[in-house]
Amino acid sequence: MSISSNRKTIARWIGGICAVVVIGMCAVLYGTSRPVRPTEPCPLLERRPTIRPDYTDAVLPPNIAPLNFVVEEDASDCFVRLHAAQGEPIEVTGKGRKIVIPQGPWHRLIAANRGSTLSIDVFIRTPEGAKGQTNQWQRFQTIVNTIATEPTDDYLVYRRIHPGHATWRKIGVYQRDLRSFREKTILDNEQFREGCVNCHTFCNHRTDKMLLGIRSTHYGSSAILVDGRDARQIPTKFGYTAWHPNGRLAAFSVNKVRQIFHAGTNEIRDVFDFDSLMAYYRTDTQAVETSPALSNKDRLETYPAWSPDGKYLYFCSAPLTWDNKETLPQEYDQIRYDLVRVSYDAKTDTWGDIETLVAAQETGQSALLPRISPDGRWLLLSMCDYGCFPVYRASSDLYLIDLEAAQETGRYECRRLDINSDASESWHSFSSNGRWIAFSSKRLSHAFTRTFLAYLDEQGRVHKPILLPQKDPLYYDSCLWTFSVPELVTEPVRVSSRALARAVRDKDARAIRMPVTMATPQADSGSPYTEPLRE
Amino acid sequence: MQRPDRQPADNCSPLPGRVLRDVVFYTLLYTFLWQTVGIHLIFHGAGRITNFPSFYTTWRFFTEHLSAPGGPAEYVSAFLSQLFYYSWLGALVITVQAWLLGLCAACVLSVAGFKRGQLMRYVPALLLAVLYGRYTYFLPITMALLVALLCVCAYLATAQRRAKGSSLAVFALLSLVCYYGAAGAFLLFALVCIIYELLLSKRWRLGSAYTIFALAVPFVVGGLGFGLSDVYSQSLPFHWTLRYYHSRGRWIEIVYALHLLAPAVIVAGGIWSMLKSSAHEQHATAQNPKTPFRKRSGQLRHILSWYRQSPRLNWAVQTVLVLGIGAALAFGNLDRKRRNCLIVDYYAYHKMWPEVLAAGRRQVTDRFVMHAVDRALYHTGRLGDEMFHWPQRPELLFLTDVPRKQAHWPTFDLYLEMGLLNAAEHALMECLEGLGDRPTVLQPLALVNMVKGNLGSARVCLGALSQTLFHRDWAERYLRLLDIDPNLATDQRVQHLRSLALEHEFPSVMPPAPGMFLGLLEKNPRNQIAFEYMMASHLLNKRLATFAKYMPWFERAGYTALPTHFEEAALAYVYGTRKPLHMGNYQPREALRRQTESALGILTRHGGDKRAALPELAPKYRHTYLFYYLYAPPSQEQ
Repeated sequence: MSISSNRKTIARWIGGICAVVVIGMCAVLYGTSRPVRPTEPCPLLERRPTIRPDYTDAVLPPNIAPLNFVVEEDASDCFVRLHAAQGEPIEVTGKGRKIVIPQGPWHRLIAANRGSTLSIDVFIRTPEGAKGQTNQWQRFQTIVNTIATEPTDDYLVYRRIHPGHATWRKIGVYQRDLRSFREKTILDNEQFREGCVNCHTFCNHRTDKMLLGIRSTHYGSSAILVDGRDARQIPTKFGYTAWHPNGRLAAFSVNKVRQIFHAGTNEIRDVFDFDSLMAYYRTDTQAVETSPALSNKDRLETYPAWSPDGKYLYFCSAPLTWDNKETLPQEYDQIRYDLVRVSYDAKTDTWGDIETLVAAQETGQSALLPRISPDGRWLLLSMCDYGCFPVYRASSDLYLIDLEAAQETGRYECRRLDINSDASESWHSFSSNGRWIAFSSKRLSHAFTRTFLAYLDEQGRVHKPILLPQKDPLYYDSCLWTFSVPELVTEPVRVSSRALARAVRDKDARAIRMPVTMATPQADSGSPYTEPLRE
Repeated sequence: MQRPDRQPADNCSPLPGRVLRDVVFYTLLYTFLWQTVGIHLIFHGAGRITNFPSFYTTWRFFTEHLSAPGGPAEYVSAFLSQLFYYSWLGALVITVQAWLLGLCAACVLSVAGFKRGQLMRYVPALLLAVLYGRYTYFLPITMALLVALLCVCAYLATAQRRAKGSSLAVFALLSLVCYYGAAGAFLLFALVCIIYELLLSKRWRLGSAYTIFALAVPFVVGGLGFGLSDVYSQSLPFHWTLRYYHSRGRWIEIVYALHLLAPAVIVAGGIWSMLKSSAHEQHATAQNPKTPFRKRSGQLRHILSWYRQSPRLNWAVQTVLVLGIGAALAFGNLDRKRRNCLIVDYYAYHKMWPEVLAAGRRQVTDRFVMHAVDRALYHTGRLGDEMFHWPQRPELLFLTDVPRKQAHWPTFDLYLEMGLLNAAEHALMECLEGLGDRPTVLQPLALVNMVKGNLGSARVCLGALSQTLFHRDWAERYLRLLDIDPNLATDQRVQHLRSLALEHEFPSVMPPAPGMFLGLLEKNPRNQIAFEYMMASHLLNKRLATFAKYMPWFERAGYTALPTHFEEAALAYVYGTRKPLHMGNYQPREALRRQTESALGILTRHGGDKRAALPELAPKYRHTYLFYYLYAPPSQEQ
């Protein structure tokens, strides 16, 4: 036999084998994806099914990605029908017990039923012989969710990190398109030789003005200012930052943050500011300034938030009760923050006097992380037993203050929200229309923070939150990331991660002068305290 | 255009001989990697190998890797890396990779015209042997290199036969395949092809076209197509992480050498062919029938001729040469110190305490080893009797004198055993960040969370573990158990650890905080490891008064006899302070009393001059607490 005929034979064999493999795979795929439909009518069970994540009795944004879930019932087959008053019902055959809803029909259905309800009928077929039941389809009571009229913002920007803080192996700020499951990297620390990236702050829920905090052993600490399509470095460390609504200045805290460890409580870490102050950066003069109201040497100031009209800066403030700013005070569990505000006139750049709105002495709790709804009506904050880092306090809950009512009565009543859990709730933000709240919670696992979305109605009721949906409904079961600082924005970040990384690496950035000094230690001062990243 | 010769690759050794040599060589390489290096030690990593990948058997993990250039090679190497769990399997993976690299090297050598240089094809295998003998981990990079070299071979095989147009088409196709499969390693493929076309094939235009293509592909495909900011990914040995993290960039020069091999061979081949052709031209004019360079002496020519005409001798000499150089390189470069450290940590992780002590003997200068030895001494019931038979320092107990990042891995298990659950959890969280989501981290992290009753976090860790190759069963067993017994009341280990868990609050800057031992013993007086470590800590810090204060707790902790060193310390306290010490029901040992008196007598004889008494005391009393007390340098803790 000649060489060429040998080659032909081999080629035929290979072709044949490939054909068999392809046909086999098609057969397997067809077999596994063949829709399994219940035979109706089937018996109706007297309870609702258990599904995970818990997407029941919630209010859904009309623009959210499909709420894929797992049917937590003993079933060999699952079938789900999603229906509403308008539009075509969606029928989904479970992949095992996973229900993965097609995106197109889902969006059509929820968009057509804004302000109405979405019903979910779950059918299961029990495994043959299981619990003495016959192998027949059963239907559960219908799950009903409400579809809100108002959408949430299309994008959510968050930081993703492992819950360890010493190594900075992989940290990034990411942008999730809430209408789908697409996630895009805004900036991760791969691009600037290790370091921390956090404290992403936007102006008026838009991305044309953005600040990103950077800490890097190689490139130093800085803030990256995005202005339009440009990104540049401000070579000083910004702590918690808030843009003035006019977009020309950003208030920020400077914190001497230290971490301690608990030996006997469930939460292993805690964070304290050993010193802090507030300052503000003016984009026009590129200078940092402060005022006595913002930088009282006897107090710890942090967590700035502007009122939507830009006339008040809200922040948190605690008395500095101990002398040695290098050590943890004995009464660390007595450090509690008041919620205060100070008036500001942007035209004249003048600050008023401090007003205490919520006094820790009265509430017995530490008031932290104020955020004000875009309509100026609601102030959402965290309150916990002590300290300044609510994500590490299991007692941290979300509270709401009706600013309009407070304006009339002069009393700033904090109302604890029903959406809280036994675990920490924190890092909350409003959507641009003020109807949606994104927040971090440890309710599902104490180590791994997850993002939830909740609807705030006009009466100030916050409805049952939903877990940020993922394409794979089992995603969170093995997800070792924590998602923190979720910020809702109306548009995607337009500056590329490459441009942001270039700004981080820019060694020629013009230094700015800090108007005040504080006992912030040098990077290599040998302090035994470890500085945490923001979780 | 001059074509390189395409004669049989190794005309010095007939095919069966070559195959036999290959079999012998790669079998020995395999045996070396399996038995001498112990590839499972690289999987274990001991907190020192920080770039070992995790691998999950999920569709999501698969598609994530396929969604970017370089992902396929990363995915394959992540999968193959898990096989390092078993030394024999890991050695097989590396041997096969070495063999494939060797085949590629043979192909490149052949194309470059080095028919007599075929022994060079063993160079990649030898370099890999050195790399793994140094306990480094570069599998993703060498996997990408392999993809690139396979593409090179595919290209060279076609380029020798086809016309320009076909070569260009094949190059373009292979470029896309290579870039998608191995990202940055594509540059190597392109470089070799360009050099080949410029120097060997003399197809200048084609070479220039390839250069443009090579520069464009990463930016067009990676940057524009996939939207990557790093278009070369981590598949080249120039990534910043390799320079930045010392532990990852160790012996990177060997990886550079591996990468330079193919281009260097092609360049050498090109230069050689140019020299040869110019020599032929001179030869044609000068009518010189001999070699182009110099005329060999008659005797040497005779020997070479005899050697060339004896294929068996030829084979035997070459084989011995290869094996000899290989053995010298492999064993000469074996990092025995690192090996011992890894072995000790491996045994400690798997609680093989006698083995820890046996291996620890070989590396008593390493603080991590000595930390593990102290643990092994405790677990074999010998801490109180033999700890001063080993070098001791107070910092060794909890590794308080090493950078915290390095101390998390070796200490988490000790914290867990003691009941310092938060300290263990913190250390493991940092390991998760520093070492990655590896099963060896996730497994104890799941356990800590189960002990603490943080079932949500435990389920996340177990969920991740259940998607791994070799820890799946353990995770699934616990996931099932959590469903039927959420309190884990039937799990003895969990219940035992809960019985030890510290309940008092000790806020501290860095665990373990002072007072934690007492908190542990208050919770469970029979927490023997906490008690022994506390007393050992007092001994090592020479805090005899504090030690004496807690002497009565030995009975409470359930000791039937007082361990030797603790009794020595008690005697040192009594003789030092002239105060009586109540030893409870323990009978003082006469021999120890005499030993202490004798040692103190020697010291007195030298007028209390410790330096003068040292030569006399050292031979006899080196392994006693008194000797440590007298001569150990002051600790940082003190």
